[in-house]
Amino acid sequence: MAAPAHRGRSWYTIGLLVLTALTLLTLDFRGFGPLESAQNTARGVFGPARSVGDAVTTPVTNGLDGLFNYGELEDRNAELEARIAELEGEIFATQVDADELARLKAELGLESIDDIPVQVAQVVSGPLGNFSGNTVEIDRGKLDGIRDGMPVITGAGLVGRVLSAGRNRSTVQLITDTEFTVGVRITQDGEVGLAHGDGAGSPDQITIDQGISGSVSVGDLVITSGGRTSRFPPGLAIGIVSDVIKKDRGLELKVALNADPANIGFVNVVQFAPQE
Amino acid sequence: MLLTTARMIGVTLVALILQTTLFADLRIGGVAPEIVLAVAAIAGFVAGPNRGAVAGFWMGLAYDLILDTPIGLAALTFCLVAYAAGFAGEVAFRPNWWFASGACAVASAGGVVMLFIVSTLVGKDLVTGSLLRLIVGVALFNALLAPAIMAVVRWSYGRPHELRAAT
Repeated sequence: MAAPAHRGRSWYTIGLLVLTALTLLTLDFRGFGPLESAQNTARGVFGPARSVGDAVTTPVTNGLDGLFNYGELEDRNAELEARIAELEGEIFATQVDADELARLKAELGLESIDDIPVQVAQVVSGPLGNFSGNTVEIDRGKLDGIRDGMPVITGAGLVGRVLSAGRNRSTVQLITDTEFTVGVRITQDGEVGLAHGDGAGSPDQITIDQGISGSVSVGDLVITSGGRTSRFPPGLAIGIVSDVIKKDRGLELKVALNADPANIGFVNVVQFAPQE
Repeated sequence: MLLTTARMIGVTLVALILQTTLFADLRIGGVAPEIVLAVAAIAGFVAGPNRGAVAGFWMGLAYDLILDTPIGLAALTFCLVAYAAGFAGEVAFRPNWWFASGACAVASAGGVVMLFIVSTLVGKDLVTGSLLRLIVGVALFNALLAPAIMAVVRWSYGRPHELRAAT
Protein backbone atom coordinates (compact mmCIF):
# COMPACT_ATOMS: atom_id res chain seq x y z
CA MET A 1 0.00 0.00 0.00
CA ALA A 2 1.49 3.35 -1.01
CA ALA A 3 1.93 6.08 1.55
CA PRO A 4 -0.52 9.02 1.26
CA ALA A 5 2.34 11.50 0.70
CA HIS A 6 3.61 9.40 -2.22
CA ARG A 7 0.12 9.18 -3.70
CA GLY A 8 -0.32 12.94 -3.29
CA ARG A 9 2.91 13.69 -5.11
CA SER A 10 1.89 11.24 -7.82
CA TRP A 11 -1.38 13.11 -8.45
CA TYR A 12 0.49 16.40 -8.48
CA THR A 13 2.95 15.10 -11.08
CA ILE A 14 0.35 13.63 -13.42
CA GLY A 15 -1.82 16.75 -13.09
CA LEU A 16 1.10 18.96 -14.08
CA LEU A 17 2.04 16.74 -17.02
CA VAL A 18 -1.54 16.57 -18.32
CA LEU A 19 -1.91 20.34 -18.05
CA THR A 20 1.37 20.85 -19.92
CA ALA A 21 0.33 18.43 -22.67
CA LEU A 22 -3.09 20.08 -23.03
CA THR A 23 -1.44 23.51 -23.23
CA LEU A 24 0.89 22.25 -25.98
CA LEU A 25 -2.06 20.74 -27.86
CA THR A 26 -3.97 24.01 -27.64
CA LEU A 27 -0.99 26.05 -28.81
CA ASP A 28 -0.37 23.62 -31.69
CA PHE A 29 -4.05 23.75 -32.64
CA ARG A 30 -3.82 27.56 -32.80
CA GLY A 31 -0.74 27.37 -35.03
CA PHE A 32 1.76 28.72 -32.46
CA GLY A 33 4.89 29.43 -34.54
CA PRO A 34 7.65 28.44 -32.05
CA LEU A 35 6.20 24.92 -31.80
CA GLU A 36 6.52 24.50 -35.55
CA SER A 37 10.10 25.76 -35.35
CA ALA A 38 10.79 23.29 -32.54
CA GLN A 39 9.37 20.48 -34.66
CA ASN A 40 11.54 21.46 -37.65
CA THR A 41 14.63 21.72 -35.43
CA ALA A 42 13.94 18.33 -33.81
CA ARG A 43 13.51 16.70 -37.22
CA GLY A 44 16.72 18.36 -38.45
CA VAL A 45 18.68 17.09 -35.44
CA PHE A 46 17.10 13.64 -35.63
CA GLY A 47 17.60 13.36 -39.42
CA PRO A 48 21.20 12.06 -39.43
CA ALA A 49 20.43 9.46 -36.75
CA ARG A 50 17.49 8.32 -38.84
CA SER A 51 19.59 8.10 -41.99
CA VAL A 52 21.99 5.77 -40.17
CA GLY A 53 19.01 3.75 -38.91
CA ASP A 54 17.64 3.62 -42.46
CA ALA A 55 20.91 2.30 -43.84
CA VAL A 56 21.05 -0.41 -41.19
CA THR A 57 17.42 -1.50 -41.33
CA THR A 58 16.66 -1.27 -45.07
CA PRO A 59 18.07 -4.74 -45.91
CA VAL A 60 16.04 -6.21 -43.05
CA THR A 61 12.89 -4.40 -44.17
CA ASN A 62 13.35 -5.48 -47.78
CA GLY A 63 13.85 -9.10 -46.72
CA LEU A 64 10.77 -9.11 -44.49
CA ASP A 65 8.74 -7.31 -47.14
CA GLY A 66 9.65 -9.98 -49.68
CA LEU A 67 8.77 -12.70 -47.18
CA PHE A 68 5.37 -11.36 -46.15
CA ASN A 69 4.20 -9.50 -49.25
CA TYR A 70 5.58 -11.52 -52.17
CA GLY A 71 2.17 -12.76 -53.37
CA GLU A 72 0.65 -9.32 -53.08
CA LEU A 73 3.55 -7.81 -55.05
CA GLU A 74 3.12 -10.37 -57.83
CA ASP A 75 -0.60 -9.56 -58.12
CA ARG A 76 0.12 -5.87 -58.12
CA ASN A 77 2.80 -6.29 -60.78
CA ALA A 78 0.39 -8.15 -63.06
CA GLU A 79 -2.26 -5.50 -62.47
CA LEU A 80 0.20 -2.72 -63.30
CA GLU A 81 1.39 -4.43 -66.49
CA ALA A 82 -2.22 -4.65 -67.70
CA ARG A 83 -2.74 -1.01 -66.82
CA ILE A 84 0.44 0.04 -68.68
CA ALA A 85 -0.78 -1.71 -71.83
CA GLU A 86 -4.10 0.11 -71.55
CA LEU A 87 -2.45 3.49 -70.98
CA GLU A 88 -0.03 3.06 -73.88
CA GLY A 89 -3.07 2.88 -76.13
CA GLU A 90 -4.36 6.18 -74.74
CA ILE A 91 -1.05 8.06 -75.00
CA PHE A 92 -1.28 8.71 -78.71
CA ALA A 93 -4.73 10.32 -78.55
CA THR A 94 -3.76 12.34 -75.47
CA GLN A 95 -0.57 13.59 -77.13
CA VAL A 96 -2.54 14.89 -80.10
CA ASP A 97 -4.86 16.79 -77.72
CA ALA A 98 -1.92 18.09 -75.68
CA ASP A 99 -0.14 19.41 -78.78
CA GLU A 100 -3.30 21.16 -79.88
CA LEU A 101 -3.81 22.69 -76.40
CA ALA A 102 -0.20 23.88 -76.24
CA ARG A 103 -0.57 25.51 -79.67
CA LEU A 104 -3.76 27.31 -78.59
CA LYS A 105 -2.21 28.46 -75.27
CA ALA A 106 0.82 29.80 -77.11
CA GLU A 107 -1.43 31.70 -79.51
CA LEU A 108 -3.42 33.19 -76.61
CA GLY A 109 -0.32 33.88 -74.49
CA LEU A 110 -1.59 31.74 -71.57
CA GLU A 111 0.77 30.29 -68.95
CA SER A 112 1.12 26.53 -69.07
CA ILE A 113 1.95 24.18 -66.23
CA ASP A 114 4.58 22.72 -68.55
CA ASP A 115 6.51 26.00 -68.30
CA ILE A 116 7.03 25.66 -64.54
CA PRO A 117 10.15 23.69 -63.53
CA VAL A 118 9.66 20.57 -61.44
CA GLN A 119 11.95 18.62 -59.17
CA VAL A 120 11.57 14.85 -59.26
CA ALA A 121 11.66 13.29 -55.81
CA GLN A 122 11.34 9.81 -54.37
CA VAL A 123 9.04 9.06 -51.49
CA VAL A 124 11.47 7.66 -48.95
CA SER A 125 9.00 7.08 -46.21
CA GLY A 126 5.27 6.75 -46.00
CA PRO A 127 3.44 7.49 -42.79
CA LEU A 128 5.97 6.93 -39.99
CA GLY A 129 3.53 5.50 -37.50
CA ASN A 130 -0.10 4.53 -37.31
CA PHE A 131 -1.14 8.10 -36.50
CA SER A 132 0.51 10.12 -39.22
CA GLY A 133 -1.38 8.90 -42.27
CA ASN A 134 -1.57 12.25 -44.01
CA THR A 135 2.10 12.95 -44.64
CA VAL A 136 4.95 11.31 -46.52
CA GLU A 137 8.61 12.17 -46.71
CA ILE A 138 10.55 12.85 -49.93
CA ASP A 139 14.28 12.79 -50.57
CA ARG A 140 14.62 16.39 -51.76
CA GLY A 141 14.93 19.52 -49.66
CA LYS A 142 15.96 23.15 -49.64
CA LEU A 143 19.28 22.34 -51.29
CA ASP A 144 17.28 21.16 -54.33
CA GLY A 145 15.17 24.29 -54.47
CA ILE A 146 12.22 22.86 -52.54
CA ARG A 147 10.31 25.38 -50.45
CA ASP A 148 7.36 25.20 -48.06
CA GLY A 149 4.01 25.21 -49.83
CA MET A 150 5.13 23.96 -53.25
CA PRO A 151 2.56 21.71 -54.98
CA VAL A 152 3.41 18.03 -55.27
CA ILE A 153 2.02 16.05 -58.20
CA THR A 154 2.29 12.72 -59.95
CA GLY A 155 1.49 12.01 -63.58
CA ALA A 156 -2.11 11.49 -62.48
CA GLY A 157 -2.52 14.81 -60.69
CA LEU A 158 -2.18 16.73 -57.44
CA VAL A 159 -1.22 14.63 -54.39
CA GLY A 160 -0.23 17.28 -51.87
CA ARG A 161 2.02 20.18 -51.00
CA VAL A 162 5.34 20.59 -49.22
CA LEU A 163 4.54 21.04 -45.54
CA SER A 164 8.09 21.62 -44.34
CA ALA A 165 11.23 21.62 -46.42
CA GLY A 166 14.31 20.42 -44.59
CA ARG A 167 17.89 20.58 -45.86
CA ASN A 168 17.85 17.28 -47.76
CA ARG A 169 14.37 15.93 -47.09
CA SER A 170 10.89 17.39 -47.00
CA THR A 171 7.58 16.45 -45.49
CA VAL A 172 4.62 16.44 -47.87
CA GLN A 173 1.10 17.04 -46.61
CA LEU A 174 -1.19 14.80 -48.64
CA ILE A 175 -4.29 16.16 -50.33
CA THR A 176 -6.39 13.91 -48.06
CA ASP A 177 -5.40 15.80 -44.88
CA THR A 178 -8.41 17.55 -43.36
CA GLU A 179 -6.34 20.75 -43.09
CA PHE A 180 -5.39 20.67 -46.78
CA THR A 181 -7.38 23.21 -48.79
CA VAL A 182 -7.20 23.97 -52.48
CA GLY A 183 -9.14 26.23 -54.84
CA VAL A 184 -10.77 24.12 -57.55
CA ARG A 185 -12.62 24.59 -60.81
CA ILE A 186 -15.19 22.31 -62.40
CA THR A 187 -14.04 22.13 -66.01
CA GLN A 188 -17.51 21.56 -67.53
CA ASP A 189 -19.20 24.74 -66.28
CA GLY A 190 -16.23 26.71 -64.92
CA GLU A 191 -17.61 26.94 -61.36
CA VAL A 192 -14.97 27.68 -58.74
CA GLY A 193 -15.00 26.34 -55.17
CA LEU A 194 -12.85 25.37 -52.23
CA ALA A 195 -11.97 21.73 -51.49
CA HIS A 196 -10.47 20.06 -48.45
CA GLY A 197 -9.23 16.57 -47.60
CA ASP A 198 -11.52 14.08 -45.90
CA GLY A 199 -8.86 12.64 -43.60
CA ALA A 200 -6.87 9.44 -43.47
CA GLY A 201 -10.09 7.42 -43.22
CA SER A 202 -10.99 8.46 -46.79
CA PRO A 203 -7.69 8.14 -48.66
CA ASP A 204 -9.13 8.40 -52.16
CA GLN A 205 -11.48 11.38 -52.04
CA ILE A 206 -11.80 15.04 -51.10
CA THR A 207 -14.82 17.28 -50.57
CA ILE A 208 -15.79 20.59 -52.18
CA ASP A 209 -18.16 22.31 -49.77
CA GLN A 210 -17.75 25.99 -50.54
CA GLY A 211 -18.60 28.02 -53.58
CA ILE A 212 -20.50 25.56 -55.73
CA SER A 213 -24.16 26.26 -56.47
CA GLY A 214 -24.71 25.60 -60.15
CA SER A 215 -25.44 22.49 -62.13
CA VAL A 216 -22.69 19.99 -61.50
CA SER A 217 -22.99 16.33 -62.43
CA VAL A 218 -21.32 13.15 -61.37
CA GLY A 219 -18.40 12.59 -63.75
CA ASP A 220 -17.45 16.27 -64.15
CA LEU A 221 -13.70 16.89 -64.06
CA VAL A 222 -12.07 18.90 -61.26
CA ILE A 223 -8.80 20.83 -61.59
CA THR A 224 -7.00 23.51 -59.57
CA SER A 225 -8.42 26.96 -60.15
CA GLY A 226 -5.19 28.90 -59.69
CA GLY A 227 -5.50 32.62 -59.27
CA ARG A 228 -3.26 35.53 -58.37
CA THR A 229 -2.56 34.51 -54.78
CA SER A 230 -3.27 30.78 -55.02
CA ARG A 231 -0.63 28.37 -53.75
CA PHE A 232 -1.34 26.16 -56.78
CA PRO A 233 -1.03 26.94 -60.48
CA PRO A 234 -4.20 26.57 -62.53
CA GLY A 235 -4.96 23.37 -64.40
CA LEU A 236 -3.50 20.65 -62.15
CA ALA A 237 -5.69 17.56 -62.40
CA ILE A 238 -7.44 16.61 -59.16
CA GLY A 239 -10.23 14.15 -59.89
CA ILE A 240 -13.77 13.43 -60.94
CA VAL A 241 -17.01 14.38 -59.16
CA SER A 242 -18.30 11.14 -57.65
CA ASP A 243 -21.26 12.41 -55.64
CA VAL A 244 -23.39 15.57 -55.52
CA ILE A 245 -25.12 16.32 -52.23
CA LYS A 246 -27.63 19.16 -51.89
CA LYS A 247 -27.11 21.34 -48.82
CA ASP A 248 -28.86 24.46 -47.50
CA ARG A 249 -26.04 26.74 -48.68
CA GLY A 250 -25.40 25.11 -52.05
CA LEU A 251 -23.88 21.86 -53.17
CA GLU A 252 -21.37 19.57 -51.52
CA LEU A 253 -19.35 17.54 -53.97
CA LYS A 254 -17.35 14.40 -53.31
CA VAL A 255 -14.39 14.14 -55.66
CA ALA A 256 -12.70 10.80 -56.42
CA LEU A 257 -8.99 11.60 -56.70
CA ASN A 258 -7.25 10.89 -59.96
CA ALA A 259 -3.91 10.22 -58.25
CA ASP A 260 -3.63 7.69 -55.44
CA PRO A 261 -1.86 9.41 -52.52
CA ALA A 262 -1.68 6.13 -50.61
CA ASN A 263 0.53 4.53 -53.27
CA ILE A 264 3.12 6.96 -54.55
CA GLY A 265 6.76 6.13 -55.26
CA PHE A 266 8.02 9.13 -57.20
CA VAL A 267 6.55 12.63 -57.29
CA ASN A 268 7.20 15.95 -59.00
CA VAL A 269 7.53 19.01 -56.82
CA VAL A 270 6.27 21.94 -58.88
CA GLN A 271 8.57 24.88 -58.20
CA PHE A 272 5.71 27.31 -58.23
CA ALA A 273 5.58 30.41 -56.09
CA PRO A 274 2.33 32.36 -55.76
CA GLN A 275 2.41 36.00 -56.77
CA GLU A 276 2.75 38.34 -53.78
CA MET B 1 19.46 9.35 -11.33
CA LEU B 2 21.60 11.02 -14.00
CA LEU B 3 22.67 7.67 -15.37
CA THR B 4 19.05 6.47 -15.51
CA THR B 5 18.00 9.65 -17.34
CA ALA B 6 20.85 9.27 -19.84
CA ARG B 7 19.97 5.63 -20.42
CA MET B 8 16.27 6.43 -20.92
CA ILE B 9 17.15 9.20 -23.41
CA GLY B 10 19.23 6.64 -25.31
CA VAL B 11 16.43 4.07 -25.21
CA THR B 12 13.92 6.67 -26.44
CA LEU B 13 16.24 7.69 -29.28
CA VAL B 14 16.72 4.09 -30.40
CA ALA B 15 12.96 3.46 -30.14
CA LEU B 16 12.27 6.53 -32.29
CA ILE B 17 14.83 5.45 -34.89
CA LEU B 18 13.26 1.98 -35.03
CA GLN B 19 9.75 3.48 -35.21
CA THR B 20 10.65 5.76 -38.13
CA THR B 21 12.76 3.25 -40.09
CA LEU B 22 12.26 -0.49 -39.58
CA PHE B 23 8.79 -0.41 -38.05
CA ALA B 24 7.44 2.30 -40.38
CA ASP B 25 7.83 -0.20 -43.22
CA LEU B 26 7.20 -3.40 -41.28
CA ARG B 27 3.43 -3.39 -41.51
CA ILE B 28 1.07 -6.31 -41.43
CA GLY B 29 -2.45 -5.50 -42.57
CA GLY B 30 -1.40 -1.84 -42.72
CA VAL B 31 -0.57 -1.78 -39.00
CA ALA B 32 2.91 -0.96 -37.67
CA PRO B 33 4.20 -1.59 -34.14
CA GLU B 34 4.15 1.38 -31.76
CA ILE B 35 7.42 0.74 -30.00
CA VAL B 36 7.63 4.14 -28.25
CA LEU B 37 4.21 3.54 -26.71
CA ALA B 38 5.39 0.10 -25.58
CA VAL B 39 8.52 1.58 -23.98
CA ALA B 40 6.41 4.21 -22.16
CA ALA B 41 4.01 1.56 -20.82
CA ILE B 42 6.83 -0.68 -19.63
CA ALA B 43 8.60 2.30 -18.04
CA GLY B 44 5.41 2.70 -16.00
CA PHE B 45 5.40 -0.97 -14.97
CA VAL B 46 9.06 -0.90 -13.99
CA ALA B 47 9.44 2.54 -12.41
CA GLY B 48 5.96 3.14 -10.99
CA PRO B 49 3.31 5.74 -11.84
CA ASN B 50 5.26 8.85 -10.95
CA ARG B 51 8.50 8.27 -12.82
CA GLY B 52 6.70 6.32 -15.53
CA ALA B 53 4.41 9.25 -16.28
CA VAL B 54 7.37 11.64 -16.52
CA ALA B 55 9.18 9.24 -18.88
CA GLY B 56 6.00 8.70 -20.90
CA PHE B 57 5.47 12.44 -21.25
CA TRP B 58 8.96 13.10 -22.63
CA MET B 59 8.80 10.05 -24.92
CA GLY B 60 5.43 11.19 -26.22
CA LEU B 61 6.70 14.72 -26.75
CA ALA B 62 9.67 13.37 -28.74
CA TYR B 63 7.22 11.24 -30.76
CA ASP B 64 5.10 14.32 -31.49
CA LEU B 65 8.13 16.32 -32.58
CA ILE B 66 9.57 13.68 -34.89
CA LEU B 67 6.42 12.11 -36.27
CA ASP B 68 3.45 14.06 -37.52
CA THR B 69 1.06 13.92 -34.60
CA PRO B 70 -0.23 17.20 -33.11
CA ILE B 71 2.27 18.39 -30.49
CA GLY B 72 1.04 17.29 -27.06
CA LEU B 73 -1.14 14.42 -28.32
CA ALA B 74 1.29 11.55 -27.77
CA ALA B 75 2.79 13.37 -24.75
CA LEU B 76 -0.64 13.35 -23.09
CA THR B 77 -1.49 9.80 -24.11
CA PHE B 78 1.85 8.16 -23.31
CA CYS B 79 2.10 9.80 -19.89
CA LEU B 80 -1.42 8.64 -18.98
CA VAL B 81 -0.70 5.11 -20.25
CA ALA B 82 2.56 4.96 -18.29
CA TYR B 83 0.80 6.33 -15.20
CA ALA B 84 -1.96 3.72 -15.38
CA ALA B 85 0.62 1.01 -16.11
CA GLY B 86 2.54 2.18 -13.04
CA PHE B 87 -0.47 1.59 -10.79
CA ALA B 88 -1.14 -1.80 -12.39
CA GLY B 89 2.51 -2.67 -11.89
CA GLU B 90 2.38 -1.74 -8.19
CA VAL B 91 -0.44 -4.22 -7.71
CA ALA B 92 0.66 -7.06 -9.96
CA PHE B 93 4.23 -6.54 -11.20
CA ARG B 94 5.90 -9.82 -12.17
CA PRO B 95 9.35 -9.57 -13.72
CA ASN B 96 8.76 -12.26 -16.33
CA TRP B 97 8.10 -12.30 -20.07
CA TRP B 98 4.45 -13.30 -20.01
CA PHE B 99 3.53 -10.50 -17.64
CA ALA B 100 5.47 -8.05 -19.82
CA SER B 101 3.70 -9.26 -22.98
CA GLY B 102 0.19 -9.38 -21.56
CA ALA B 103 0.40 -6.10 -19.71
CA CYS B 104 2.05 -4.35 -22.65
CA ALA B 105 -0.70 -5.59 -25.01
CA VAL B 106 -3.42 -4.20 -22.74
CA ALA B 107 -1.59 -0.89 -22.20
CA SER B 108 -0.91 -0.53 -25.95
CA ALA B 109 -4.55 -1.19 -26.82
CA GLY B 110 -5.56 1.42 -24.23
CA GLY B 111 -3.02 3.85 -25.66
CA VAL B 112 -4.34 3.47 -29.21
CA VAL B 113 -7.92 4.03 -28.05
CA MET B 114 -6.83 7.09 -26.08
CA LEU B 115 -4.87 8.49 -29.04
CA PHE B 116 -7.91 7.99 -31.24
CA ILE B 117 -10.27 9.68 -28.77
CA VAL B 118 -8.02 12.67 -28.08
CA SER B 119 -7.17 13.18 -31.77
CA THR B 120 -10.88 13.04 -32.64
CA LEU B 121 -11.64 15.58 -29.88
CA VAL B 122 -9.11 18.01 -31.36
CA GLY B 123 -10.56 17.49 -34.83
CA LYS B 124 -7.78 15.36 -36.35
CA ASP B 125 -8.62 12.24 -38.31
CA LEU B 126 -5.38 10.34 -37.91
CA VAL B 127 -6.47 6.72 -38.21
CA THR B 128 -6.35 5.04 -41.60
CA GLY B 129 -8.61 2.00 -41.97
CA SER B 130 -10.25 0.02 -39.20
CA LEU B 131 -9.73 1.17 -35.60
CA LEU B 132 -10.33 -2.37 -34.30
CA ARG B 133 -7.63 -3.76 -36.59
CA LEU B 134 -5.26 -1.04 -35.40
CA ILE B 135 -5.95 -1.78 -31.73
CA VAL B 136 -5.48 -5.54 -32.14
CA GLY B 137 -2.48 -5.15 -34.46
CA VAL B 138 -0.59 -2.74 -32.21
CA ALA B 139 -1.42 -4.83 -29.11
CA LEU B 140 -0.06 -8.01 -30.74
CA PHE B 141 3.04 -6.36 -32.19
CA ASN B 142 3.87 -4.67 -28.89
CA ALA B 143 3.23 -7.88 -26.93
CA LEU B 144 5.87 -9.59 -29.09
CA LEU B 145 8.37 -6.78 -28.51
CA ALA B 146 7.60 -6.46 -24.79
CA PRO B 147 10.05 -8.99 -23.28
CA ALA B 148 13.02 -7.36 -25.03
CA ILE B 149 11.78 -3.88 -24.10
CA MET B 150 11.25 -4.98 -20.49
CA ALA B 151 14.87 -6.13 -20.28
CA VAL B 152 16.17 -2.85 -21.72
CA VAL B 153 13.94 -0.66 -19.53
CA ARG B 154 14.86 -2.60 -16.37
CA TRP B 155 18.52 -2.13 -17.28
CA SER B 156 17.87 1.61 -17.72
CA TYR B 157 16.21 2.00 -14.33
CA GLY B 158 18.40 -0.37 -12.41
CA ARG B 159 16.82 -2.95 -10.08
CA PRO B 160 13.07 -2.24 -9.97
CA HIS B 161 12.39 -3.15 -6.35
CA GLU B 162 15.09 -0.82 -5.08
CA LEU B 163 13.67 1.86 -7.32
CA ARG B 164 10.17 1.38 -5.91
CA ALA B 165 11.52 1.74 -2.40
CA ALA B 166 13.22 4.98 -3.40
CA THR B 167 10.05 6.49 -4.87
